[in-house]
Amino acid sequence: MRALLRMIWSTVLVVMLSGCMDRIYLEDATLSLMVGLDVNEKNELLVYMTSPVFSEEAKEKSEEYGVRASTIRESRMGFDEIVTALTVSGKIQVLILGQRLLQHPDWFRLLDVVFRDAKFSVNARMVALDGPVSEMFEYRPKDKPRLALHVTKLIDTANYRNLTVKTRAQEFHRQMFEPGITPTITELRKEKRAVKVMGTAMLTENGVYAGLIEPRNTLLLQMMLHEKQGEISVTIPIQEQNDQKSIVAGKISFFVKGVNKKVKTTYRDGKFQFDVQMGLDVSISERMFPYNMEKDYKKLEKMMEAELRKDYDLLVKKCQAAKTDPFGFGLYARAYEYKRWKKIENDWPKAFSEAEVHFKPEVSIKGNGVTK
Amino acid sequence: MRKYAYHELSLLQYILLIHGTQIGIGVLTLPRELAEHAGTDGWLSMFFGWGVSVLVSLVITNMMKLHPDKTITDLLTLLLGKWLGKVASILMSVYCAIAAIVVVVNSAFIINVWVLSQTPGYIIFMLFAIPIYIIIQGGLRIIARYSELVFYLTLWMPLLLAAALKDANWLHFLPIIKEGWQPILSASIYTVLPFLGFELAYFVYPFLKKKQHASLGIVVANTLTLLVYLHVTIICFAFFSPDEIKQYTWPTLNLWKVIEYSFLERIDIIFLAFYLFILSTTVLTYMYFAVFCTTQVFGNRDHRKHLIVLLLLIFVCLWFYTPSFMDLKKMTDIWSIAGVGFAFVLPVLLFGPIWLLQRKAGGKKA
Repeated sequence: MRALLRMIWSTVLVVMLSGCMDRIYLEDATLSLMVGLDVNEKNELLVYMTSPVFSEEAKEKSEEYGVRASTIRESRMGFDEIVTALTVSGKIQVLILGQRLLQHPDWFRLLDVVFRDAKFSVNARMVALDGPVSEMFEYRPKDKPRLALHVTKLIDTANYRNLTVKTRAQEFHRQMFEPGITPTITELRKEKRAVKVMGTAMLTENGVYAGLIEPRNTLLLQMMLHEKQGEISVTIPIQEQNDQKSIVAGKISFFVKGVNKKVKTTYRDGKFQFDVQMGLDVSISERMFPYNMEKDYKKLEKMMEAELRKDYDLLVKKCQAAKTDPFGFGLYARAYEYKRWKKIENDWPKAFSEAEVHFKPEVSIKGNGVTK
Repeated sequence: MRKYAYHELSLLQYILLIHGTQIGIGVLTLPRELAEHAGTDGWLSMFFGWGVSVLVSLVITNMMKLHPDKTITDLLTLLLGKWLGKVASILMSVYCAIAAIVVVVNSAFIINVWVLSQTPGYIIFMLFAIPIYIIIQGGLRIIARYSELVFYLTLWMPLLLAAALKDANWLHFLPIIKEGWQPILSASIYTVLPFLGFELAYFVYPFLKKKQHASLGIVVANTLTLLVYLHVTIICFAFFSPDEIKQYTWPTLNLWKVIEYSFLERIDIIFLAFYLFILSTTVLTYMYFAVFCTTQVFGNRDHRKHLIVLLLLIFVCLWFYTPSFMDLKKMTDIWSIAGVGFAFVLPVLLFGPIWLLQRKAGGKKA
């Protein structure tokens, strides 16, 4: 009797296990790996997606579609009508935002489903595309893997060398809700024969496109945000001699081996003052001019510092002019000048545009490569 | 007469049983609740919640010490007479049942939202009910062993959760004490519910083998709970922006969503299941004492029949009515209010009479 009961129990349990109504076979799933959002001339939302095709018979290994819809979730209906199987949003790697979409101040609300639906992946990389999104999704490179995977890899590796930021949807959500920082996302452009990383797109507080930070400046931004992350290789001009005929510019390249950042926040003369002290341990990897390192390395350090300071100052000026604070100085303002911060909390970018930022790089040459 | 000798618990089991009961849904929602009311200073509120809980726990322990072999239901019968005692026991049972139901229904709801969005709640509950029955039918010692096992099984979770710290921003915490102590104190009300569970010492105390360590045990249990909550809250506060965290119902689960490995993308789906273990220790203990009380009232020896009835009842209710998220919130509120009554007010009220009772009884003996 007991044995019988047990058998009945286990049968019931086994039967119940498959009773969950949420299982889905891989054959029945169309995994969207890359999703694009854009608006057309009539301000209608266009949603694009690409997904891999798992079929021996199919010649193309991925399918791309675009539909017109008013929300992302609604677009799923449109996709389910045309794609091979059920559209699944849990594996999205890249989320591409069209340039025209980023002109609209309330576009961020479109992403509600990404954060509300637990099945949505929040690890998608956010991308601003310089140009219409359709171009990107129509692109079928012969010498590259599936487009979505190629773009993912492109962003990850470019981010490793700090040419662009890697902002995942979750991080983007944080940047949007944090009053002390404005969002930055990867900017790509579809060139004739390739997809190119343009650098970092600066967005304003409500997500409107505000300008591009070029890769060489993204390096500076990344050092400020994350100190040392990935590989940082900087090339800067050192004005040693002015020889017009030479094709070789007086430049020096170096790896940054370690970054040590200290921010001092004060409030003086009616504005915030940030003194950023940046200790950089560098190792020279390329020098385009003769120089007596042993004798004059201190002088070289000073020249590098001056050059970096100039670059940082220009970058900050640019951000202030665009009413953005991609560095997150607002966080420092809140942490160290809370009372003042409370007053301008709702309009930090404006307060930041009036703030004074003094960068003080302190370069210390640790290595000189294998030649003298 | 040592009625409960058969189910004696070791000190470690006692600690982990109470600790396991305390860690419930709070571990998922507490960071948001604290952030809503005290911003990133909310973690300081926890110390107040902990202090009050420890104090009340000690009151309970000292009260139970006066009658080391009696549970609260025995005491209430002694104190109020047979019939009023029974009414009090039923109230106790209802309280425990509410607690168990709130947690189990919440768990089913969370699974529904996060993993199995198309599966009806009652089926998820049915899947819960089977292991619940298997464990509770074994009695308190089995539950305590289970709590101990779950504690070991989930020890790695704080370590993995700390992986989120690589994106942490410690500036969120500064300045400490932003708006003075007032919001911190008012937010400490929200730390009451997460610490509930220590009141089960009412029942568990007589089962403890080495009663001289009871006070130590309950302080350790409360402190372990404090550490778990602090860990989760501080990681959440460091990771999410102070304004952003209010957007999430269960910030702790959102934290898991971010962790990603090249070989495994959606960790959250898998590790959500481990939170079921943590939630289960709360459900099991409360549910056991809900049926424990009713068996005492009806004079039955076998608590299993009562358990089946309770489980069936919940199942049928869920079948006919799926609670909405607002219902869940209301239920949780009811539990917190009842919890304040049963865990904080009751021991203070009872301490005097029970002390007198003991003196009277002691006088008789002499």
